[in-house]
Amino acid sequence: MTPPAVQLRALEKRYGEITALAGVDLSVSQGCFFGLLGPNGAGKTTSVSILSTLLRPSAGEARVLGHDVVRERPAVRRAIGIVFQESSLDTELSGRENLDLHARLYHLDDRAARIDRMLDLVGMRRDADRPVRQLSGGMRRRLEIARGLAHEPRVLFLDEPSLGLDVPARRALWGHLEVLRERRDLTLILTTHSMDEAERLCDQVAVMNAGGIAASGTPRELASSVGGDSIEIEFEDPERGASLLRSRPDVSAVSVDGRSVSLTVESAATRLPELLDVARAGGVHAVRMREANLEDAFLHYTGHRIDPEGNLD
Amino acid sequence: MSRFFVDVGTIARRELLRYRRERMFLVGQILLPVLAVLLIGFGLNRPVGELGGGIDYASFLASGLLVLTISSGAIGGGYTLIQDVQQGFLRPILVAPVSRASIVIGKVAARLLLSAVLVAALIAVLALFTSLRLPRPDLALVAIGGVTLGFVAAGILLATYLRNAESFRLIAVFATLPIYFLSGMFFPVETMPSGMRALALANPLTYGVDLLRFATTGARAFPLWLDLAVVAALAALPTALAVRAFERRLAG
Repeated sequence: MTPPAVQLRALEKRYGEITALAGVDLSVSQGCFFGLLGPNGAGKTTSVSILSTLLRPSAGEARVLGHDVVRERPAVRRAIGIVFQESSLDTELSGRENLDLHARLYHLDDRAARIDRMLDLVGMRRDADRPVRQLSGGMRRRLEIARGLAHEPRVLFLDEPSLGLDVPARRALWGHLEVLRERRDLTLILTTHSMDEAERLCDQVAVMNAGGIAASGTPRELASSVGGDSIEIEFEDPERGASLLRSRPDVSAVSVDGRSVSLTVESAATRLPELLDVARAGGVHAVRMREANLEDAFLHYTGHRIDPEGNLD
Repeated sequence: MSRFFVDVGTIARRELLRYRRERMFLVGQILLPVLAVLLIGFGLNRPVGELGGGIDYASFLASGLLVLTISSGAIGGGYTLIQDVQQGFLRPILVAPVSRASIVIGKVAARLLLSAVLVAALIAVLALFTSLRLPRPDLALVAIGGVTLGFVAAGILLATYLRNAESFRLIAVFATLPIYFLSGMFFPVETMPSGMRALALANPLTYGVDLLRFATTGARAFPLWLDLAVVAALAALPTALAVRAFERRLAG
């Protein structure tokens, strides 16, 4: 039986009076692209720091590929790669020199060829010999990813990978991460407060709030678990349309406002044609639909909206 | 064990790559003492006359400036370790399967190598116009090692309390100024007024200066065993304190 890539059992971390993690249970299977969502201070970075052996847990257990992060530290360190939230490159050295230093610390052979492969993977071959201090934030982040992957870790942690990047740099980064899906044995654990990023990249997500896991599942499951998609139909005869729709068992929260009728349904994209058929006698003029998204789920499970910097409203 | 030495070498290699980027600074570290010897040393040569051990003032000053060069460089070298922590550079290394000790030892090893190279280069240039030579290379290495270790450690200790570069530089200058002037670097300890001499005798660097002066000119003010004992203590005590401070810093 293959162990999960990451397993947390009743994991706690306290700093004096402050509780950063209050009993986290989580299991991520190998090969998964997993997203830890949550506002700043929810415990995402603390969890990653414990899993990467930088912090010791106060109680509970954390395992990476079956290895305990406290008792089997060397095995965990060999198995993981990490891309930190803040840049951790030596800015006086070039990208290639940074990667070479890393390759030496992992005692890798065939360094030059391996580094070239990594640079190609993140599209940084051309700028590899420039000092890091001359590079943009997006280029540095790509170099960090190349470094994080150079020793072929089986679990790669990415802590807020697109924080501080502009839109084109963010899209480029996502493109490079998508390519990693081809490596089936790689598990990706990314923390983010960007719902876009989680929906785009992750197979599974968990929402963290106040040091615990509030909900988990696929992005789609999580989104629809909090009330489903909403549809708004404009009718010639709204009362007639509404009563026809109310007869459907899969439709809920039907309300009439002027000529338009709003309702909620589990999966708007697949149900809409059928619903329009049923309600045709009401005289359909126009239709709008909005699919439930992770943002709704986030709002539901944390009780907060989130701004682009990850702070709660 | 061999893995440990490879890691020490890797960390040292990174430091040396960084020094390579600071070539101009290193050239300055050689030019400045040479200029001081030419302008001050020879300016004072005649009024001062022959000093204890039969050397002239230019040679006396030249040997003292060797210590100034390595100690001021080393204290800044200690600071870069804390800078690495602050700038996050150490985090990926701490996650790698590398022992903590190899990080500190690698950094210190690079600094020791640099100190030795600087002293060798300075002696080569200063030998052209002073009586500076290298009759006791073994003792020179001990002095270079002790002073470098002691000051790297002092830099680490200072930097754990002073987090920003400006205040570090300011305090480093003010804290080291009396230590340098009361070490026999610029003028002999024997002829100082009694109160000043008492402070100089209590200053561990005094014995490092004396040891390197003996190794390069043959002149010395104190018994050899005393120089060696104090230099060993100068290396050991701050290093022990710095390792503890560094580990606490990493734990936080």
